[in-house]
Amino acid sequence: MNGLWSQPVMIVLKHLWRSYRMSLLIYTLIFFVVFMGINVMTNSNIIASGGGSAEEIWKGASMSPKIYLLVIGILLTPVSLAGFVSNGLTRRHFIAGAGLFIAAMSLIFAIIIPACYELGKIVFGALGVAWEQGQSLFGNSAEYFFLFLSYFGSGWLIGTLFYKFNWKAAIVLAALAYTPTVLAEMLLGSEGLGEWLLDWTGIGAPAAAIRYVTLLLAAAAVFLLNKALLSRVAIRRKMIM
Amino acid sequence: MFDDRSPIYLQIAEGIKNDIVSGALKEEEQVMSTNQYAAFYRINPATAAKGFQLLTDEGILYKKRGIGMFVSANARTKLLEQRRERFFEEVVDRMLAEARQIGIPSAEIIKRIEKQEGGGEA
Amino acid sequence: MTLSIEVNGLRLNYGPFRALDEVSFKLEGGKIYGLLGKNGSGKTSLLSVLASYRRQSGGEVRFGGEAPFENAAVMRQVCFIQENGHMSEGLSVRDALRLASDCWPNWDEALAERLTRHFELPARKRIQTLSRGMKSALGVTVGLASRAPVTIFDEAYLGMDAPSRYFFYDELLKGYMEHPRTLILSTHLIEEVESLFEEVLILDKGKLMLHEETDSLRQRGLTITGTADKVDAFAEGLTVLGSQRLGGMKSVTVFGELNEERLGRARAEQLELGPVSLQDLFVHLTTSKGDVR
Repeated sequence: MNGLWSQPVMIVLKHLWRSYRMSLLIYTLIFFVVFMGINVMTNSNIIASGGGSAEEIWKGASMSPKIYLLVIGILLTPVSLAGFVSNGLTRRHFIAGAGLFIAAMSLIFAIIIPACYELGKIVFGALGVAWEQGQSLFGNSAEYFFLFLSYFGSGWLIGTLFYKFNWKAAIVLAALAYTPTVLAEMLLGSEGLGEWLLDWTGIGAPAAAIRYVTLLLAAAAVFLLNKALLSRVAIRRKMIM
Repeated sequence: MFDDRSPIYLQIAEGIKNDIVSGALKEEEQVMSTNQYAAFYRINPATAAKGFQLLTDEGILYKKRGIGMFVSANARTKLLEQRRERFFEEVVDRMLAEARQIGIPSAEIIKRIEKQEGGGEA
Repeated sequence: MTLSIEVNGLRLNYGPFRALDEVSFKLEGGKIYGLLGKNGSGKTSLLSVLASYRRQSGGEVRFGGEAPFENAAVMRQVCFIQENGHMSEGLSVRDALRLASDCWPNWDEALAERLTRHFELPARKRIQTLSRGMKSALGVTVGLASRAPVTIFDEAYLGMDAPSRYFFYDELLKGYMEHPRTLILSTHLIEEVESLFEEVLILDKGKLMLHEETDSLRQRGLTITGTADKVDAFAEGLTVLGSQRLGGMKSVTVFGELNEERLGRARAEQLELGPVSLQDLFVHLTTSKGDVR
């Protein structure tokens, strides 16, 4: 096999990307349209009156991509694993490829989401409305990356559990699979869930270095757990037992 | 195409022998390759090869390196000789045994043969 | 390109159920093998283990000396095609073929295109929307175009109509003659395919019942018909697979080596001897004791 893209892990990455790129595009469009729509509606009088300053609705917007990635994560193993193994690739190839795919998608989303915000700011600027908060969200890309990574990773773990075990056991274990996500939310204290958890537990947000190291470890743990569960799994046709 | 009466490779050999005897395959003529045979009759090439090997061992076919399988020069003669012997054993002797069982004397059989010879000429 | 397959004491359990029970055999490779067995005999389990879809519960499998499970060098040489396949249902036909062409080292694109055209596989349609026959056709296309050194078809052509099946057999033979490799066909349609098999393996209730050259196996079957007492006397000491009575006449199917002398004796006794097709042999050999008439 010659060339990087003919390597098995890259084949997995390439074909996973191919499978989901349309979905990603459509989702992003819908996300942006909905985001704009909400803002237009809440600020309609300001727009009508020719402009001014407004408070944009953004809080909690990031929940949507998180759920989206969670769902794709859940589908990942049941939908794709068998296809790769039936074409002669090993489970390890799939695990590595899926890991890369998740990291890449999380990165892409970490850029797209702030970009939507910026685009919205520009569009509203053209309508004469200046947003109050105004600052670029690209500074938060790192946070977004880790949040999306943990949701996607948790999803992957849940899907793997359902593929490997019967559904009753999987439901119980799935509850544990959320741990990395809860952890990420708390550590990053993001708007919505993160802030709420911090308030509730009364823990202060730790230093940046500790945060990111912990998050990296959590991501590694999720990856290794998937690896442990999948590396000897029997290939079945059914998605859920 | 092939029935269960005997191994397929034997049936293949018989088939080619019949073709040689009937004149459909002439001496020194090239025969289908084992692969062509296999594809044509939808059988495993090893089976076809076995049949051909049998014929080669019997001297009915021979191989020209790089070209293919050919019918041996005296194949027809050889086969006719074989069939002669077989004819007497399998057809004549059996006929006589059956005649005996039914109770037909040989004299009647001979009379019938003579009548056929005299009456209908091929 | 001939990879030998060696199986020793193979066991596969699903909980308490023994799907494979101490199965051992060796395939030299480079031949067309038939794998026969009733439903539940363990055929698919055996093939799943060979294809590294499952790990065995016990025993060894070796491809050219190497264990296959999660062994990339072996797995990329073994192509396992089942009737419904394991391709992601959401993929389009075109994407499924692209994935296969990326994965299989010996992929023959020209062949894939020719087969796709013949079967009229709709490139853009998703696999889940295909009919059963189309899905089989797609599976068979991948299996043939993969040109994998070990290609296994597990009832892969059940859903296909007769003309398509015969086309498949022709293509299978053609490809095999051009590039000899190991082909294993597991099937219920024995009559259609038996002439393709060089060797046959029969599984029954998880055990390997026999492994022989097809021709010699066929030779071991014989039906003997005649008056009941004569038939019984003759069949003394032979393995009787089945028998039928009609009035004073009896017909038995026997299994075993019968030499010329014995056959001659049968004819002398005016017993009618007949051959047994592989299909019938298989039915008789795998019928459980309780079913014998």
